Amino acid sequence: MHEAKLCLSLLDLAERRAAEAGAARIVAVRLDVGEWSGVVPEALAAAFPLCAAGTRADGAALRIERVAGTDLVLREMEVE
Amino acid sequence: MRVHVIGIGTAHADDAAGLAVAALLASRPLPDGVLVKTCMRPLPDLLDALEGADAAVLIDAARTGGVPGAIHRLAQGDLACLRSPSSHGLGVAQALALAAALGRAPARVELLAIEASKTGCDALSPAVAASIAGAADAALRIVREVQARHDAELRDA
Repeated sequence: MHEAKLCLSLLDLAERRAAEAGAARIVAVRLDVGEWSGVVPEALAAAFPLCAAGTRADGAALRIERVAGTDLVLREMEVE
Repeated sequence: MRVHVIGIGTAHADDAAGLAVAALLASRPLPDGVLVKTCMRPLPDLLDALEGADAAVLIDAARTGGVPGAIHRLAQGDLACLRSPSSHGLGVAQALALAAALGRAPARVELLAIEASKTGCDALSPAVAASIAGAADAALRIVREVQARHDAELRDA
C-alpha cells in the first residue's frame, strides 16, 4: 500500500501547487522515480487514477521516468 | 486466516459509531486470528488497517435515510451510495479500489453500517449508543461466518 500512500501525498502536493498557480485542472503529471527509491512504478501507475479521482488531477496523464538514485520527484505538471 | 475488524469514524457524535463498536470488541475475547483496528480517515488510514488481512469486516456510520441505530449489512457495491456523516462511504470505496488495484485487497470484505442520527452533538445519540452492543455481536457473527467459510474452502481444496 506504500505506493498508494505516496500517490496521495504526491497529489496533495500537486493540488497545492495547482491552487497556488490558480489552475483549475491538472492535465498531466511527470514523476521521476529513482531506481533505488523502493517505489514500484507499476503500482504507482495503478494507484494514480484512483487517487486522483475527484481531485483537480482527475483524469490527468501520469508519466513516470525511471532515473538513477533514491528520490521520488514531482518533476513537472501541466495545468489549465 | 487473519481477519481485521476495522472501526471507521471520528470522535464526533454518531460518526464515532464504528470506533465505539471496535472499542467494545477489543475488550472482549475474540477468536484466533482476529485483530481489531480503528481508522479515522479511509485514505490513507484504511490502507494501513487492511495491510496483511485475509478478510476484513469494516464498521462505519452511515446515513441511508433509515431509523437511527439501525444496523445494515452492506455489499461492497452499496458503498458508493452510502452517505455517512462525513462521507466516508466514497473514501472507503476508494480505499478498497486502491488496495485492489495494488493487489493488496483482502479476499473478502464485509461491511456493517450503523445508521447515524441527523442531529450532531459531542457524544453518540441515544439510539446509536443503544445499537453498539448489537453491532459488535453482528460483527462477531460475520467474523465467524467468514472463518467458517474459509475453513470449509480449505477442507474442500
